[in-house]
Amino acid sequence: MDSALSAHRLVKSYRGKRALDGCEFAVPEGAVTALVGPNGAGKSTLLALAAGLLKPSSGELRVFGERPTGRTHPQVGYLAQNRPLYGRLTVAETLRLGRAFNQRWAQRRAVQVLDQAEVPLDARVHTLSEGARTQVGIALALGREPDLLLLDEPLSALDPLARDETLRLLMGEVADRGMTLVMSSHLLSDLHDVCDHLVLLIGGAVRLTGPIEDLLAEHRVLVGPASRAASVDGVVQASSTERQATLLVRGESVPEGWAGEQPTLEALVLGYLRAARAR
Amino acid sequence: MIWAAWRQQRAQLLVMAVTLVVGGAVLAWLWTGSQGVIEQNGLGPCVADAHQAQCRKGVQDFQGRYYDLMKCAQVACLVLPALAGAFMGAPLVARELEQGTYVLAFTQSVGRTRWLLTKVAVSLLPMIVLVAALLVLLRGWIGSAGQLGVDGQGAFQWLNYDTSGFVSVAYAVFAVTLGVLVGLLVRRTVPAMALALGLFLVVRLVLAALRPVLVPFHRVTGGVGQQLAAGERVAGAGFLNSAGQPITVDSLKIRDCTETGTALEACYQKAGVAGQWAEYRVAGDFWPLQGLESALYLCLAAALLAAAVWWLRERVR
Repeated sequence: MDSALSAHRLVKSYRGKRALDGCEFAVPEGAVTALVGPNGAGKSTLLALAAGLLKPSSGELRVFGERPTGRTHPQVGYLAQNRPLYGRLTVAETLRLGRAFNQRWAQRRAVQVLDQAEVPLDARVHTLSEGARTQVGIALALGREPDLLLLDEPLSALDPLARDETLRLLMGEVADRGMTLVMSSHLLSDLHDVCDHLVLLIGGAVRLTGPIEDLLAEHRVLVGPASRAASVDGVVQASSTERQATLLVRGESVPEGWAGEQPTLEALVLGYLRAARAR
Repeated sequence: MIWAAWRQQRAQLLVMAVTLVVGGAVLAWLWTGSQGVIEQNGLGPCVADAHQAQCRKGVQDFQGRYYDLMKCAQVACLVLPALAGAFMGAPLVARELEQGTYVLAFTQSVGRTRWLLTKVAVSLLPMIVLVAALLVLLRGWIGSAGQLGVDGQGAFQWLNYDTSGFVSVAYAVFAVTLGVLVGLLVRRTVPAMALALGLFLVVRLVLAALRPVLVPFHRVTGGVGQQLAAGERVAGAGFLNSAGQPITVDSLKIRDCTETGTALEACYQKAGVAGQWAEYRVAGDFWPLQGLESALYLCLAAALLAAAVWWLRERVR
């Protein structure tokens, strides 16, 4: 399968400080990817690079095989974290703006999104709640009928019901049109139900990436005697009490004397995050 | 895209439309009023030459009513380009950068260059229409009063020169592009407005001082007793020494030189003065100077716009 989005030795620095430091990953077409990492890990920078808003300092980023050059790829939709919208425009005028800014524009789809979210079309954008602004942003992005949709923290301002509805809407788009979806979040719990792909970004570098099923199959959580913890290979992260050690291990084998099972996605991600903090 | 630019600048465009209607109505009203006074008082012949004896009373009356109004109207038209730069040019991009809305525009299918040029065009073209229309009315009114009004000071009096011909339109184009670039660099609306206004005034003053480089003054020299360049707008005058060099003379030394003829020359010679010089403008300088100055401002505007496009493409994250 071809990559919708891929990075190779991708570096982005701001005034000498590296926000992204040698990122390597590939997101296949049709995947639903969770871009996860702590605050300041470089998630927004990565998405802005993919949207063509930023230029890489070195290395390369490819969107459907092309490097974004100061312009958003026509097949890409993007919603920034701060939801940039013109506050004085009404929602309907914002959609008209989308039509004015794009050759390909699916007005009916955009209106459908807003109807479903019960966002009034005649309301001025600055009067909307944060959640409604997010819905307008998503409607604007989906109006472009993107084959790759990049959403930066899409669920952060939504209440649980709106979260559920938004995710269902996005999944519908993935199922109907084969859209590739990349969503960032610092909370994995937002995304783990719907994602089949993971990019874990910590400190500007990709620590873990791939299909979630494979990642889970490649890891084991081992529980055993603390005294023998040092003899186990491939330990990602360890925590132990006086007697008992719990290890997150990369590798499928379970050494003798240890109880092993596949980690949950939360346990896996948390293990890598803890390991990064301990370093 | 034009709709998008229009919608975002609707408020400013509305203000411009109101300015055009109100300003135009005021100028038209003043014009018909002054025309009425001229006809009523039989001042028609004085329009071409207000120094005739029969005009004296009527001229005083006319100028009492309209002279200051003409000056005020000229000043209002003079500041129009500066306001255009500050209120139309500077916020154009600065507000988008400040509020982050440029991200919305830059993640659609419109290129950055087209985005910027459309926005500039949508504010600049109405601005040109506004400035040009008000200037035509202003000139029509002031010209109709001729020597009765401020035109009595000559076409090169600074207010007269700046608000006639087409230099003001070029000033406005320059002011808007300057505002756009400043806004792009400063990225904050209010500081950009202030800076654009300040820079525009500085450039205007500096380039106004450089006008003699564009079209040099006519220079005449002559003996001490001669009248030089009568009836023209004199830009400068002074004394010469015997080697023909301009000199500054202690006015105390020549205070008592009141004789005529050779005695006058001898008196001045005692103070080291052998002759005098004068620099002045003639009527034929008007259009060449207007043309060259306008071209200079338009070239600057084009350069600023090109710089803005480059900066937006290469430097705006």
